[in-house]
Amino acid sequence: MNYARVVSIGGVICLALIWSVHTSSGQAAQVAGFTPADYIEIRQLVARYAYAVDTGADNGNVYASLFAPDGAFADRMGRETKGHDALAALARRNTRGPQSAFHFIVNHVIEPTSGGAVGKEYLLQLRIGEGERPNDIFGGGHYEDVYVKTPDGWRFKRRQFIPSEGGPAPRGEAPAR
Amino acid sequence: MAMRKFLTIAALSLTILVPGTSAQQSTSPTPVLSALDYLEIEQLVYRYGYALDTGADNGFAYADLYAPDATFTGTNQGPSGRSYQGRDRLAALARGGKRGPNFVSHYVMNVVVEPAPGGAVGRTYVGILDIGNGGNGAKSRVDHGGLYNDVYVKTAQGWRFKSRSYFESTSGAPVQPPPATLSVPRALGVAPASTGAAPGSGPRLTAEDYIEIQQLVARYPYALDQNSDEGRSYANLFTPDAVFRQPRTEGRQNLATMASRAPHGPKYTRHFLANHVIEATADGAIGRQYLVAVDIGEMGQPSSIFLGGHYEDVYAKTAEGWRFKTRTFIASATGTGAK
Repeated sequence: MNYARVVSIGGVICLALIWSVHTSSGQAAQVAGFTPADYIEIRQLVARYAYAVDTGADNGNVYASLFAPDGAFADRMGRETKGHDALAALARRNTRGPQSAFHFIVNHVIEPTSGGAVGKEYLLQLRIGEGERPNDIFGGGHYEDVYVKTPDGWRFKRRQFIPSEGGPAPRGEAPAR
Repeated sequence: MAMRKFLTIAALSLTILVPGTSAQQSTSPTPVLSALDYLEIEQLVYRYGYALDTGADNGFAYADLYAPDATFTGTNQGPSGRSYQGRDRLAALARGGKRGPNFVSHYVMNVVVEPAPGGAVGRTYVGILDIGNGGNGAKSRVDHGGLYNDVYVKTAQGWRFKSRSYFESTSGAPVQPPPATLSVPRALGVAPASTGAAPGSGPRLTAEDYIEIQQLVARYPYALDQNSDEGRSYANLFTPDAVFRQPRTEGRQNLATMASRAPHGPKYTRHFLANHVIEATADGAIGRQYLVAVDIGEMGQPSSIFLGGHYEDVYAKTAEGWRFKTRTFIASATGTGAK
């Protein structure tokens, strides 16, 4: 088991522990001071993420501005990109064009915590309008997020992408529920 | 010819009210939106898919999402785009073709809303899927998709589209004028929530109700795809006497058993939900969402759409919070076919 995999598994376990504390009731926890406006702002933050990364707006700076100053994006292996310049460079590398839509994000669960909030979403990557290639589904998975409220609004403290891996039962055999 | 093309582009430039451009600037003040304003604009955006895909009310359900003088522009229609204005012309857009009361195609996601002079502006992604008739995944595919740029106005009937422009996704050069660019986010300064919802004298939901119901539905895919507790977290999303269809499954124990038998794993993602519409009722609330179940390819294998359709829900507010009282999945189908 290499280092990156250890880091990846460690990150997933940490986030899972956070979730286990905050989701046991199956209902949004009531944390004092967490308002509908906080939910709205966090939903807006997450919705902006797709545009920022797909278009690479403002040379990647819009993407970087979605993160707290010490915020980090962790890829599928758990490797973190941290700091404004590094995050902006990440967005520049991944941009697909100023009129592109690739990151389709749904199923956004938000849980307030004592230090801010955590969240998770499903990601569906649709490859549309890329030359002669037929439009298709590139892949998907889910994000696990930690949010922090800054003077400029809610920001990502950490975001990790975890690609989908099949369940124990053979896929495609059971109907959707 | 050159002059005609110039005039066409100039006219299109004026009709595409791109957020953040001079075209939508006015002397109107920029409002501070409440949480309910954001939620009601989201509801408008989510209703769009149903109105367009079903063609309900001979297309007028779609037309009535717009303000009386509003415009839809398809920038991908012809070399210079095409605009539609007026209730009759907009209604005509939602007729013909693949439609029906159970047809799903327009999956709207990533809804960004910003206050703007006179109302609000927004942008959303749309994935336009060709779901095989009857929900048979074998024939489903990603047809196309892209982005909407919107301008919203608050009317006596609630929030409506003042303009909506569609931009087909491309990795190449954008059309001119291009879709709005995203700015650096700022704290929204959301106004205090009021207790009212949509205009009218009927039952109302608070912002907290909308959010709790949204969160209930958002939890559904995780409880099903990633459950690690023999389906208990899935069953707890339902009232004790709840019914899921199909197959008809009643009561938490049976629901837990059903979930435990579904494919699942800690990193498994299969149920993608979009277009969550919520309506208050005398007894609680009802709602709908689109579902696309996707088998994500691993290790370089292609992904495929397993099926698509929509859920129809009844929600009940319990001592534990909002829960599903009934949840019914209806596979996508064209025409007037029965559920």
